[in-house]
Amino acid sequence: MRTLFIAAFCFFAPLAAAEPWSSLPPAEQAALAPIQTQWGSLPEKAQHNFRHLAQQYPKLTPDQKRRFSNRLARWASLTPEQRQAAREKYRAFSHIPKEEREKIKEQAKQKHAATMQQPASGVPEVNARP
Amino acid sequence: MTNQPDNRIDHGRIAALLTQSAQHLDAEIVSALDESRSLALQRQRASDPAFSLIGFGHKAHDLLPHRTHQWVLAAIVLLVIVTGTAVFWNSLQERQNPDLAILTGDMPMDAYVDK
Repeated sequence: MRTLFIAAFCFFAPLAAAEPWSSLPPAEQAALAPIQTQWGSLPEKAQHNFRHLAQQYPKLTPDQKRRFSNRLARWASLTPEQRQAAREKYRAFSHIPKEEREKIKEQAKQKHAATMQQPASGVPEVNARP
Repeated sequence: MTNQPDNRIDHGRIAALLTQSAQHLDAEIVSALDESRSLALQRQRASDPAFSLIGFGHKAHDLLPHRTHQWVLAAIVLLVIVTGTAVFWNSLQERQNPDLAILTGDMPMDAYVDK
């Protein structure tokens, strides 16, 4: 079933044309505002994926919207390979039992908080609303 | 030994007596009985379908399975369709949701991203 879906996606994906920023609906522009400057340089497929994400934006909770806005630019700056690797990690993480997952989550949050106190190289994730 | 009368019902003998009696009935009575029998059979046929639907009538009844093995087959086909649909949606969501989940989840994104 997955193979069939991938085949269908490969067939239809090239049909989606690249969209200039100005042609996006205002709601999508608002959701994708953090990557406005990167938009033109994104591949068509990535633009299509980001538009799909923007369409989910109104359904998010305020906390989720804040995280979305804070992380979007960093996510867009990753290479397709890095994004794919992150997806694989997410899928693997989803299969871990919930209790263990919560422990790992806490450790990751502590590590992230420590990193935020001593910013290293790279683009740090901003947790507070500007 | 006692010579008591045999009180047991002999079904075969009763049937023979009824058959013998029926042969002596008037033609008019035989015709009325035959007509009643035909009417009773017609009513039985009409009430026989268990899943006849009002409005759909006989066509719906023809489309529905009648025998146990047909019901089992229909259930298997339904199960395959439901399972297939569920697998398809699951794979679709798996493809679409990771990005949104990574971007909006309470797990820091750094945990997923290779540095």
